[in-house]
Formats: sequence, C-alpha cells, structure tokens
Amino acid sequence: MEIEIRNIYKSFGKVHANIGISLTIHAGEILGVLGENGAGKTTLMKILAGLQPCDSGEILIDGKPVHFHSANTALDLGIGMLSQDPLDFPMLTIFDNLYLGRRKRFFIQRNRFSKQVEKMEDLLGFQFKLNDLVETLSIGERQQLEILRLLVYGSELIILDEPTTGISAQQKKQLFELLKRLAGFGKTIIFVTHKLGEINELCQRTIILRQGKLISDVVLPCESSLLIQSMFGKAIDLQSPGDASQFEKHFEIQHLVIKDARFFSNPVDLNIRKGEILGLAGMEGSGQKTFLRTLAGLEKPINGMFLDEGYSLHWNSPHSFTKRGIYFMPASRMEEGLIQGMTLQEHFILSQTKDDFFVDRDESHKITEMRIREFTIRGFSSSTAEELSGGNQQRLLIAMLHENARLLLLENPTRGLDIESTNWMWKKLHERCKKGASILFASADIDELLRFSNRILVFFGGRISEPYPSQMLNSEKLGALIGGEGW
Amino acid sequence: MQSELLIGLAGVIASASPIVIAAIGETLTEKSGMLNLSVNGIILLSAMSGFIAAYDTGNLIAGYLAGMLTGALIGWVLAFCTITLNQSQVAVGLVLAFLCRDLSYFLGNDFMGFNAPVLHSTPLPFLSEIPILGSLFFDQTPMVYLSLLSIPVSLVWINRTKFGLILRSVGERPEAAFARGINVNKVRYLYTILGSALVGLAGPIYSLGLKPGWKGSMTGLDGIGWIVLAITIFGGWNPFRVALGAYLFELLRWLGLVYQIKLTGVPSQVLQVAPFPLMILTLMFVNMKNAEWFESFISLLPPPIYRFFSLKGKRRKAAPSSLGIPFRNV
Repeated sequence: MEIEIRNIYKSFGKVHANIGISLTIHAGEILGVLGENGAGKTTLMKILAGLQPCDSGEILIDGKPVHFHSANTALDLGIGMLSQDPLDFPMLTIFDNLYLGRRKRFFIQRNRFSKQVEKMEDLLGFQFKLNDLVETLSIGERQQLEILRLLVYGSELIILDEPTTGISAQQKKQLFELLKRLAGFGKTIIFVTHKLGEINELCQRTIILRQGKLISDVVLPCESSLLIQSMFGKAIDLQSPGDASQFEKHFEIQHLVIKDARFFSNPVDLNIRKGEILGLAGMEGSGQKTFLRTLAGLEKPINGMFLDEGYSLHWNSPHSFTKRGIYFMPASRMEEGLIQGMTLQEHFILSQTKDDFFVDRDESHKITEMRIREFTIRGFSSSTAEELSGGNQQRLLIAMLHENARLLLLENPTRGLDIESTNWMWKKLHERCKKGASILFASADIDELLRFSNRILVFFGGRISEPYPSQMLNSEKLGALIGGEGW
Repeated sequence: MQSELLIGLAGVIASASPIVIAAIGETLTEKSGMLNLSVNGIILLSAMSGFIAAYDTGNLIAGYLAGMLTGALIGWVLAFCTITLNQSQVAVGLVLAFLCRDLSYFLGNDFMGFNAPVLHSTPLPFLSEIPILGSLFFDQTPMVYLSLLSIPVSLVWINRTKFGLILRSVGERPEAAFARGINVNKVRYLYTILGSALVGLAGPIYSLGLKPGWKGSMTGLDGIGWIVLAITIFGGWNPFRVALGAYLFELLRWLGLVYQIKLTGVPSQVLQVAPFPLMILTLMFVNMKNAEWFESFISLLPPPIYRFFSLKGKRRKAAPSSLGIPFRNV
C-alpha cells in the first residue's frame, strides 16, 4: 500500500511536536525516520497509527483520504505500530496477548489460532510458550511478540518505534533479517531510530526530523557525517574511550548469590574501585537486572555480603543503601523510574534528601529550571513525567541521580538516547567518576560496553563471569561470551 | 440428624445465592477496572424497589426486573460520574452507597409490612431425586439455580470468550487495550451497568424470598454489600473462588446459629459476629501463598521443594492492574 501524509501539524500545549510534515511511503519500502530525542518522531508515528489525532493535515492510503477514529480503524486498514515501550498486557498470557483485538467469534478459537500463530512463528523463527504470562518475558522478547501479533493481524504497514533499544545484538540481527524479508513480501516498514548505523544497514531511504520539522529526505546509503549534520544541525565527534587503571578499593562483594525468577547464580566475588566503570553484558534477562537491584538493596540475595569500605550493608533496610550513596536507575522508565502525573519539579523535590518539613517551592523551582537547562530536557518544570518523550524521560532520570552518589547502578542508561545525548550523558557520568563515584551499568550495546567500561562482567543463563578487563576483549569476543561461547 | 444437616446445608446454599450473584456482578465490574463501592446501597434500594414492583403488579418477575433496573441505573450514575465527568470512583461510590441506603428507607416507608408474592422452591424433575446432591442443589428456588449457573457462565465468559478477554485487557492495561482498537470507556460503562444490575438482582432475592417483605432498616440487609466487596477481593476476582467465599460466609453464619442453641454459656453476640473475623482469617490463610514472607520462608528450603511451592511465574489472583484508575486518551 502507498501512504501519503500531507501537512501534519500537532502541538501539545506550548510544545510543537509536528510542524507541517508531508511524506509519501511506497509499498515494500523500508523507510527510516531519524531524529534526535524529542524531534517529533513518535508523535508523527502515533498519528499515522491512529493512536493520536493530529491538529490538522491529511493521511491518504492508496490515494484515498482516511480518517482514524481509533487505533482500530488504522489496524483494519493494515497499519500496525510497535511502540517504544511494548504496549502489551504483562498479566495476561502470551496467547491472550496475541488473540486480543482479533474479534470474530464469540468463543476464543484456541486450537485454530494457536496453529496459525505457530505457523507464523516458524516463519519468523520465534518460539513462545503460549500459556506463559507476558510478565515472564524480557523487553526484547516482548517486542518480538508484538511484531508477531501485528503480522498475525495481517498488517501491511508496520511502524517500529526504536525497536532495537532493549534487545541484544543477536536479536537485532534477527530483527533486521526479518524486516528485510517482510519488505520482500511487499510489506511496508517504517523504522524509527536515532542510531545511524541501523539506518544505513536496514533502510533504503530515510527522512530526518528536527524540532518537529522534516529537514531532509535522503536516499541511502549515505555518509554518516551528512546524516548527523542534518539530525543535529551541527557536526559531532565521538569521544575517546575511558582507560582502566588501578584505583582505590571502594566496595567489596563477597560470595554473592542472587536469585532470579529462573535461576540462582554462582557466587560472585568482586571489588569495585573508586571511579571505576563496570559494564554488565549479557542478553536481556540474564540476571543483570537482579544483580543491580540486589546491590541497590531492592532485592535480597540468597547469600553473600556487600561491604562498603568495610561496613557491611544489610538487606533488611533498603534505605541504608541510599543513605550510603548507592543509587539505582531502572530501565523501565514509567514503571519504576518516574511517577506518572507528577511534574518535573515534584520529581526533583522528591529526589532531594532534605529533611525540611515544608517544601521550598521557589528554591525547588530554581533547581528544576537549572537541571532542565543543564541536562537539556525538552519540557517545563510544570510538565508531568509522561508528557516528556522517551529520551527526555531518560535524561530526567539521570538528572535526578543524587550529587553525592558513591555508587551508581544503571540499567540500560542510554536506552532510547541518540548519539549526542549518549555522549553527553557519558560525559556527565565521567564527571561523577572523577569525583570518586563508581558506576555499574547494564547495557545491550556491545560497543557501548567496550567503549566506556574499565571491566566487564558477562551474564549468561544464570552464570556470572569473572570481570574481564575491557582491553582484553573486542566486539567479537564479547559477543561470543554473551551468546554463551568461550566460557 | 442426617437430614437435619442436609436441610441446613441446603439453606446455606440458598441464603448464599444473592451474595454469589452480587459478588460475581461486582467481579465483572472490577475486572474492567471500575471500582463500584455502592454495592451495599444497591442491594437495599433494589430490595425495596423489587418488593414494591412485585407488590404492585403481583408478579415476581416484575420484582426481579425492577431490582435489576434499579441496580443498572445506579451503575449508570456511577459510570457517568466517574468516566464522563471524571470524578473519583471511591468518592462517588461511597456517596451512592449511603445515599441509596437512606433512599430505600425513605421511599419504602409507606410499604412497610405489606405482603408481596414470595418465590417458592421448584424441585427439578429427576435431578432432585439424586440422594444428597438432589436435596442440596436441585430442590431450591429458581434464583438459587440462577446463582449456581452464574458461576460457570461467568467463568466461561471471562476466560473463554473474546468479550471476556476484552474485559480483562481493559482492567489490566487500558492504554494497551486502546491501542488495539478497544473502546475502553464504553467497555467500562457496559460492565459497570451489567455488574450493578446483577448486584441489583440480589435485593429482590432477599425481599421476595429469603427475607420476605420490606421492613425498612429492620430488614437486616444493611452490611451485606460490604461483605460482597470483601468476598470479591479475597476471592481474587475469580468467580469460582468468589462463590466459595460466599458459601463459606453463609456456612459460618449458619454454624453460628446452630451453636447459639447448644453453647448457652457463650453470649449470642459472639456467635453472631464470629463469621466476620473467621471469614477474614480463613481467606487470609487461603491467600497466604501470595505473601512475601511465605515466599522467603520457602526459599530457605532445598531448591526442588522450593520450586514445588513457589508460585512465581504462575502468578495467582492479583487485582486487575488498573482497578480504580481512570483512563483518558491524550
């Protein structure tokens, strides 16, 4: 199908998300949509998928103007969207998740539909246990499930909003092969991202959005530097990797055994040094999250000690962990990190550890404005957390990490951030390290792990490796370790 | 002795029937993410309106329909106030609970002590002749049959039909349901009205059968609605468990009555009140497997045993994730 967008405008209060965007997309095409955080990519896609009405403008499918009264209309017309955070039902089974929305018969056609799903699964190389709860899947798996669902629905146009942010390198490779195959069948793919490499690898054409406007429409492949220039309006260089050295001992982990939903880990012994950055590598759901949460005092380990300069931290009082400057930043932004309905200012008030009874509005307003400027968050101190775009929510989370932190535990800290923001964020984190803070971060991005960590722990199926100095690894070696080879 | 016990148990099943129907109605409403706290008021008001309708027309069916209509109307008021007017579900529900109660006393004042038709038991042919089971389940009033039938029907509806799936999705994650093209607020309207209509059926079951007549505040129905709410929660929003809870509650009440005669040393108030704390204790015990401390206790056991007991992954009967949370599309 051929889709034409004419003169789309959309604003949220004072923020203009889309300004006069026009575009034509052809059948069987993989179109990239590139732009930095908050450029209006997600808004445009939501309009196209019928999830949000536009203020003005027109959408034509095969030359006929269409109006989306609800997401249903868009789905009926064959437009399906995969959102940034998977919009599924964690508490329902995988089967129910797939079935929901296909409404023909009164009774659920269990056997027939299962067969249909299995056929599609074979085609795509997925394997889901249909009776498991979606809750038990990793974010990467949940994304696969969403793609599977849209295909079972018979979507002709599939919009993927930053699909590679939470998944492993191998899953990404599979995804790209899959998308190319789908394009071969005549399906149209719109691929929203801020990662240049992916655009060049996957797409034939890309549009670039900047501050709500369509800046350029480029046929690929194309020089990355040119793309960067139109994305940010300026050139950006990649910064050199941090170097490992012998720092002072800071935290010590002894015989720590963690308990995940699926396994107990082997005992881990680890010294964390002052100013050190430790990367946690592994496929999504291999235990990195539990490891970080355990060190943050949020989950109790089966066994083991966690010493802070000789002082033993005890899991019965999670509060004592924050008191000693240990902070955790979760990957699921809206679920654990931020509070829906609260403004940025209120978030900053909460994150301060002042003991005053009354809230000093003026002071906190000042702090909020300062942080918004310092962390270039696109929003106002009176905006609520859910009004921010995904990337800006991530920035807000980082802005909220306490100044006096001694150990930062970050789960996928750059998930959903573009190159500029990633670099800038690591600059901020390096500043923290210079002040003596240590960082443990989990990431699905091999390049990021190699570039920023001094040492890397690899997680695989409940096993946790000895720390590898990152100079000893390269991307192939690390990739193999993540895949469970070479242990 | 044998038959005395049977008669008693058959009485338990009969007297639990309105609670079963009301609690299943409330379960349906809450599954959609709507919290209807006005159950107690609806039961009283519909008991009154059902009684008057049956008295005026001399027709039982008119009475039941009037009760359901009353419930549906209150359900609509709740849905309109909370969904369309964006008011708090808790506040509106509580106000309706008390308003409907007092309204029933006020409007029913002129009809106190009148006689309306009463529903009698109609033994089912053949089935009622089965020993024990026959007299327990098949020698009852049509409303008891309806309450028994409502359990499997609602279970199938929730778990085996597309409408049930839609219902669950709306209560779990309305924004995701919306993205699948489901009109979330319409679904919530429908189930609030449907659930309230079922709650409204419980009223006339009392006033035209179990506790015939209308005696204002002496009718003795005040408080049942709150028990219905508790049973819905402890039953884990599962019609089968919810019904079990209702039967358990009535069983305890019956035991209280029986032992009141035998244990003369115990003040009668103790036995009358005992079902309530006993109910809560029993349900707490049933729900213990969900508790964090239980999980951490069994995690001390060797892994094979731990895995046997651990319910993780197979997660149990948690509340609908969006219960009480309004949905608005931006």
